[in-house]
Amino acid sequence: MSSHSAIRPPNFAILVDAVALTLNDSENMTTLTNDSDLEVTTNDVAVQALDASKCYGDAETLVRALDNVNIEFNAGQFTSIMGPSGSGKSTLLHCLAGLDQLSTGHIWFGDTDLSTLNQQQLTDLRRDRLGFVFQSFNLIPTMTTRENIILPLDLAGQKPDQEWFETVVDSVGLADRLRHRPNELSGGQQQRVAVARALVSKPDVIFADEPTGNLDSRTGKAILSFLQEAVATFGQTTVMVTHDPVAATYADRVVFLKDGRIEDELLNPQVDHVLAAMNRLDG
Amino acid sequence: MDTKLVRHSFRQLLSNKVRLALTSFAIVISVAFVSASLTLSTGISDVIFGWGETQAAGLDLVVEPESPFAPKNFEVSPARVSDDTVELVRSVDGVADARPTLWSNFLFRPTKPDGELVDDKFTVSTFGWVEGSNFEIVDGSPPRSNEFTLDIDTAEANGYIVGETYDMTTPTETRAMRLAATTQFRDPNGTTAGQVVQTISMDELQTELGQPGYVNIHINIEKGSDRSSVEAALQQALPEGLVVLTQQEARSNLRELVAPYAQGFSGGLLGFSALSLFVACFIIYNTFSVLMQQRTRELGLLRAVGASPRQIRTSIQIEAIVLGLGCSIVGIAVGLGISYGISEMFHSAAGFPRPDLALTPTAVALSLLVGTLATLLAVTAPARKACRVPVVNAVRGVQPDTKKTPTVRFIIGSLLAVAGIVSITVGLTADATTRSTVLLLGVGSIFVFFGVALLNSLWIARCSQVLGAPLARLTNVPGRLARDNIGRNRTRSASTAASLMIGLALVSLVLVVGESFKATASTGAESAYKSDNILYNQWDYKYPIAVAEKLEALPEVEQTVAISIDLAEIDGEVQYLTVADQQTASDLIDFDVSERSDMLEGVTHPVIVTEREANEKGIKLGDELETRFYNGTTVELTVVGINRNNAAGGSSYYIDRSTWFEQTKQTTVDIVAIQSAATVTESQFETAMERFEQANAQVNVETIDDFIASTERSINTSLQTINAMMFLAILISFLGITNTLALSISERTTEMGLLRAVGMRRKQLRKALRYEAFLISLFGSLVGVVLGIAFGVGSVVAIPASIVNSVQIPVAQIVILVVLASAASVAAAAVPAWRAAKRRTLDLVNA
Ligand SMILES: Nc1ncnc2c1ncn2[C@@H]1O[C@H](COP(=O)(O)OP(=O)(O)OP(=O)(O)O)[C@@H](O)[C@H]1O
Ligand SMILES: [Mg+2]
Repeated sequence: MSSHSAIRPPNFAILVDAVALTLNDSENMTTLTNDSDLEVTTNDVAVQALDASKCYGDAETLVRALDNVNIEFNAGQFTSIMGPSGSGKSTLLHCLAGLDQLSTGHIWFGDTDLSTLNQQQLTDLRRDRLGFVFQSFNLIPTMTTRENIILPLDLAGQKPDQEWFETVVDSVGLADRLRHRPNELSGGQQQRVAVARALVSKPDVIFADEPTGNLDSRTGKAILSFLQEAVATFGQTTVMVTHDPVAATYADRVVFLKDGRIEDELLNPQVDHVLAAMNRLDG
Repeated sequence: MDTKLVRHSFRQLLSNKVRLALTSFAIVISVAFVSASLTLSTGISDVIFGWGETQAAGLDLVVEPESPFAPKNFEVSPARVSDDTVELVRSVDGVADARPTLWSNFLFRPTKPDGELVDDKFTVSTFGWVEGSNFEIVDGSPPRSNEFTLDIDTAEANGYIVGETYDMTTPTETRAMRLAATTQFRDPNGTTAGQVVQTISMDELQTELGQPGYVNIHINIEKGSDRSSVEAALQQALPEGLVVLTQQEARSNLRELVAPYAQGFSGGLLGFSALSLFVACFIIYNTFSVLMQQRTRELGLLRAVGASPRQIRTSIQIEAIVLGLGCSIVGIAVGLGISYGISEMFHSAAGFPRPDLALTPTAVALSLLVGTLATLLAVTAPARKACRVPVVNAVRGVQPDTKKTPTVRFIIGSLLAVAGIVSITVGLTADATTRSTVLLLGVGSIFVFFGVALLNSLWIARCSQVLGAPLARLTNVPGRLARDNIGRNRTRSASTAASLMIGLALVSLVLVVGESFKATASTGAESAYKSDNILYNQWDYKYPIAVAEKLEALPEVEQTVAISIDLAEIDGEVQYLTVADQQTASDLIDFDVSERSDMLEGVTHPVIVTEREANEKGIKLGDELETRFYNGTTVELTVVGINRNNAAGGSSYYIDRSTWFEQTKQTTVDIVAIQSAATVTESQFETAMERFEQANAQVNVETIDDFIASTERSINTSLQTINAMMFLAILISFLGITNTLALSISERTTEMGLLRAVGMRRKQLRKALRYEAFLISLFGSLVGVVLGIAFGVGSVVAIPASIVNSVQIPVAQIVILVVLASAASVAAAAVPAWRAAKRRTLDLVNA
């Protein structure tokens, strides 16, 4: 599909803001960028949908939630998915993440065809190679912040890399909240914990379904900046569903869905371009 | 509005089939047990009382010896109603007919056509044949010498043929007797109460009993004569020691006689049903509190659009009443099935007669009431709570804050526990009568129990942290989730655990008491006898002393001592005593006398008392003990010795056989201690004993060790029967665990979706849920076992030392019990855990 070049968002000021907001230790930043693991790779395809269709219901009540979708998400790229309600955004995300099965077509996760995996392999793939951020209810109420963050590692029986853990925690600004439980955190803090959890296992891709849908715009911005920062700094491939044109501009690329089909796509999106594209979609 | 709400409420109820099924199940099963217990206890009382009714049927007056209390197994001596008495009664004006009656329930047991002893599990009652009695011949003629008759039921069930000859065993021999007739009761309502009822000729029965005379005289008065004047005339004519009873009095005497048995049965059953109701209430309450929590949001919505809390409560209560009533009706039907099952169990385990099981109006009404009321009570508190949640929180689905310390619970719980402990302490220490001790202990235990059940919610979270620590370390996430989930709704976890706690507390209580009882019985038997063998009747009935004499005549036998065990009222308290010949007893019985009076020679009615009893009652050497026997005669027993051991047979008093015979005229014995001759080898002795047993089919010879083993076995059997019932209660609590878990799982659907989305495997999720059940049940079991052991030890201390004198805690059995209970609850949780883990992740996430 689209040829891709290393993209930096033009609104650099916001990025600087976000870094200032979330990172208070620039030394950490330096050690991070020097880490060979985290070298920004730009041209590999992280995840890809080929002729993907998803239907619900039987002959009479047939709903084509996804209709022959072809799309790829490059490693290190931040993509937003937009579209009217019911256009199939969540369905696409769920299928990409192996939470749901396609009716026809394939999802390639790196070199792996998801349709060849059984349930347990899919579970393990989610645990080891994917990160999730949902709109709400992201955390286990009985677990502390720390436990919630390292949950995927715990499930795999792995010890967290302490340095990386601290980096992630510091960057989301939760260092002093590690012993708190979800009901002692604000909604924004809870979402930040969810993002930290998504990052901690160094996943190939983070999927986020309206991660700021429940937050006020300021808190939402902080989360988005942080995601953007993670993409920029760690080369974290990220796919995010959103309804908010401003939120969409934090991404390198916006994909528009309608009736289960990809209708449009923008690179380096600006708010007015996104709004124009949405108008075209409605028209 | 209200009817709309109610309709909505029902639609809501019907919309979730699994939830409805689980809720209904809890109610149905509890009502089933209540109605089963009621039906069974009526049925069984009818059987037991029916026997008395049958015997009192069709007579006007009864003449019988005065008897302040019933002797062991009602085995009365016939000596006090003689032929002269019968003649005297017949001569009284207005007496139309006077029939002497005589019966025994130990002497004769016929073999069946297939050669086996008839019905070796239940009683055989043998009556002396009297013309005009309440027996009626169905087929054949009255029994003459060497003939017998059988009740038609037994005859038909076993294929007896009138006119054929069968082997009849008596304690002293087996002889051939001809079946002269089959009989039935003249009274159409007459019942054999599941016994074998036979008659033989009066002469033969008297000969076998070793005495002439009768048990009592049944009288019919002349038509037209006044019953009370005949009664007065009879009383005038009769010698002292004989009393005249009206049919009413005779009937109520008979009732009184068997009442303890009926009460024992129905008391046990009702206790059991109270227990299952108790457990069921916890389950119903749990179920509804989960349901209400799940519906808080929906109820909040209703309140947001203007329904008042009162309207909502009413609609929920109406829902509960309808549900409770419906389920109670089903429960009554299921209960009838269960009662059939239990009566079959009794029948095959103990040969107990199958009662007529019919639903009485009382049972139906009570079951309906209990089921409906329990459901109504169970919903009230949760509904109230659901309405107390602020509307905003309810609509937004904010979880109630469970961190808050439930102070009311704490106060009530502590008060109950303290009151219970005080009551138990008073019961154990105060110098009270047995009845009030039992009452204090019982009430105290119930208080402690409720108190602990309430307090459990305070420490269940902390306890599960400790108990779950190894699990969390071992399995990490699943273990930790399980451990921490228990603390999320402590009240609910605690009441889930409570239902198991009750069951295990009772089982371990029974185990402790039973084990202590067993230990007392076996050390008693071990230390009481110096002989190497023992003769006894397997049905615990008496047999003629002639058996002991026959044994002693054998060359293989060195010596025998015959022992009778019976009841007497000593110093105002009816107690067991042991009868033995004081000249020879010490040869084979180890008295281990600690103090002996040297005035033995001059004493006519000596008694030896155990040290423990003497200390308890303050009895000293030379004391006179006022003693009354079952036939009303009284003597002063003189204490001539204090012995360390319990008496043979477990009583606290030894009296001389001459005293016993003088007072009761009984010549029957319970146990014969046998010393084998030194001149014979073991195998020679065994052969001789086998030959003896063959000739005397109703008695067994066993070595002391075997005798102890078989005593323990029979104690075990009764313990097992009690525990089988308890296990049913425990079973209900497992259902409760499954139920609560299943419901609370549906509360956490989204959370489980999240876990699955971030990579929790199905297996790990199942594990987490099973561990949760495991921890709750482990907590419940442990608290239950601790309470049970404490109550058990308390009971052992409270039970008179003559019955139980050593505290035994069967640690291994209790550990096995806890392990089994935990394993079973893990198994019980497997189903909801499997169901939850089976669901697609996406469905969970989107739920
Ligand atoms: N389980 C299901 N059964 C039937 N139809 C479904 C199911 N899940 C989704 N759909 C349908 O598939 C289509 C796409 O749904 P999807 O949830 O992907 O939309 P969306 O773009 O995420 O919408 P929104 O912005 O409202 O979240 C919709 O028409 C929806 O009704
Ligand atoms: Mg969606």
